[in-house]
Amino acid sequence: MKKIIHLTVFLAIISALAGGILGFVNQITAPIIAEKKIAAVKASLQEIFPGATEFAEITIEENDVVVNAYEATGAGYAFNVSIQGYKDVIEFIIGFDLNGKIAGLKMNYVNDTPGLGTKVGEPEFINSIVNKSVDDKLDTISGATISSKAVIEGINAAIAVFESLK
Amino acid sequence: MKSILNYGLNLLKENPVFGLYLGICSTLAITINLNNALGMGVSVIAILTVSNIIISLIRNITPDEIRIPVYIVVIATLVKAVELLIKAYAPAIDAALGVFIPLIVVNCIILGRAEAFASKNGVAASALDGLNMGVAYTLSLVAMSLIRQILATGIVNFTNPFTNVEVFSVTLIPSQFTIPIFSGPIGAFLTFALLAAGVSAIRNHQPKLKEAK
Amino acid sequence: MELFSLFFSAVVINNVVLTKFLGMCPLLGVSRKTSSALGMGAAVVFVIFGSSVFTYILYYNVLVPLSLEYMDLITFILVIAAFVQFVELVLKKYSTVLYKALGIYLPLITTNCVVLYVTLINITEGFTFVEMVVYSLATPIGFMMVLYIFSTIRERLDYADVPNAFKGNPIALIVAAIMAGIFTSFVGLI
Repeated sequence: MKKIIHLTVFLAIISALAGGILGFVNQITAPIIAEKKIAAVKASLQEIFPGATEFAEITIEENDVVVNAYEATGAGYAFNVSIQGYKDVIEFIIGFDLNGKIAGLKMNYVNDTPGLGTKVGEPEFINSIVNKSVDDKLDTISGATISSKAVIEGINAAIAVFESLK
Repeated sequence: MKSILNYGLNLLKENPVFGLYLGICSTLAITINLNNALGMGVSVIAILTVSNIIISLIRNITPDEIRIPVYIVVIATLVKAVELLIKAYAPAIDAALGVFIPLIVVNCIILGRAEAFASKNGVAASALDGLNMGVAYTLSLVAMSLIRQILATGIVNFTNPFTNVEVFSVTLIPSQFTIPIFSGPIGAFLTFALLAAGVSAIRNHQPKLKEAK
Repeated sequence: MELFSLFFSAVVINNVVLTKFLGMCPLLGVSRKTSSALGMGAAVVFVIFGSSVFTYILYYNVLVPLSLEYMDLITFILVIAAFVQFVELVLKKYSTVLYKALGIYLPLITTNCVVLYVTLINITEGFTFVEMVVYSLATPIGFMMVLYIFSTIRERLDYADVPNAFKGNPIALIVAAIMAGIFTSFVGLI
């Protein structure tokens, strides 16, 4: 019995020490990690809304496709979208200005077939979307139908959220 | 000079990855390019050295019955600390390696060295052993990643993970002659199999050394 | 439907062994005979499912409310180790048949990276409880399937005339490369 208590106490002390050390490391790193996370998005938002200076994350209703929403004060809204592409998810940020025009599209993660699905990350496709109105029909790319369809589906989901915010 | 040669030969024969098949999972998964291999390698060197030191320090007060759980707690703490530090200071490594950083906990090399060496030897010797094993592991990762990266993309490059500035980039094979499957699972298994067969061939070539041991 | 595609993708398309390279140690270690491959596979399905449910509940009901998320790794690995021990004790006491079949594989599972991987992915992917259940059943089933197929090939390899240097693990890895090639053709089924 004494032995078991000894073992338990020893393991408890080790675990408590481990917790203490990690708590300390976490305290130092947590603010830096949070800052880095916003900084990465901020750069993209700044690109989409060059004129805006203030950005804030806003809460939206839970959504399978639209992950985060951001407001660029006086300029528009942007949405972080993650949608299933051909073999992996496609992640991008799309921004709408207050007139309902697509202000910018930034692909963050495309892992579909190189040369085909990855076309959705190329300027040609992105330029075909930017500056369209939310009411316009968006075209898919032949040869990358599934990937581009997924992106357009994601954009439509973002438009739905955007309409609900206006 | 001779000692360097001996060290190299030992590195091949006693290689933790290609010789003993330890820590294969991460070796196969992350050796897509040099950056990943070095990021993983340096993390493992740091964790292995520190865990060996700590386990050696507490070897006399650790009750034998629960030594494995104690080692696991020590290793998991170090891995989590490294993961948090990487997330904070080198997010590029975190983005590339992802879940494979926490999975260092179950990398057999670390628990294996704790059990086989650090629990029986002094602090200095354990630290040296950790460093040694870590370097051998890193070199194996680098070898794998160089082969795969060169064959798959034709380019060798290295980017400073803290600043995201490219340090160097050399194109060795023109893009129309590259073999992209080497960056995927097939290439990973194939490269590993060939390197392991190479190590095994070198070992078989020196049967006398093996017997003398 | 979505749950089915999650299941199918975890078993075949994103097979842990052939696309994520996890669980290589048991794959090389216990795939020499079909019977031991099935035994190990069954033990892994059981342990992954059990420890996933445990860690999932623990994470959202204890660690998150206490904002101790950074303790996840230590908690998970200890839960897995304890769960394996517990299963071993229970089997030993109540089912000699099962213990004889699975017993020797259980201690090996603690260091099987698939277990830790699944418990971590359950959290990082933000799975709901049902998704977590499906995923943590599908992944080890995929592992078991590959382990079984692999062992049937290896039983035959024993009789093959292989160059000396390739004997043992290297030739097994070549087999894995070919299998990985076959499995990549499932990409795009969903």
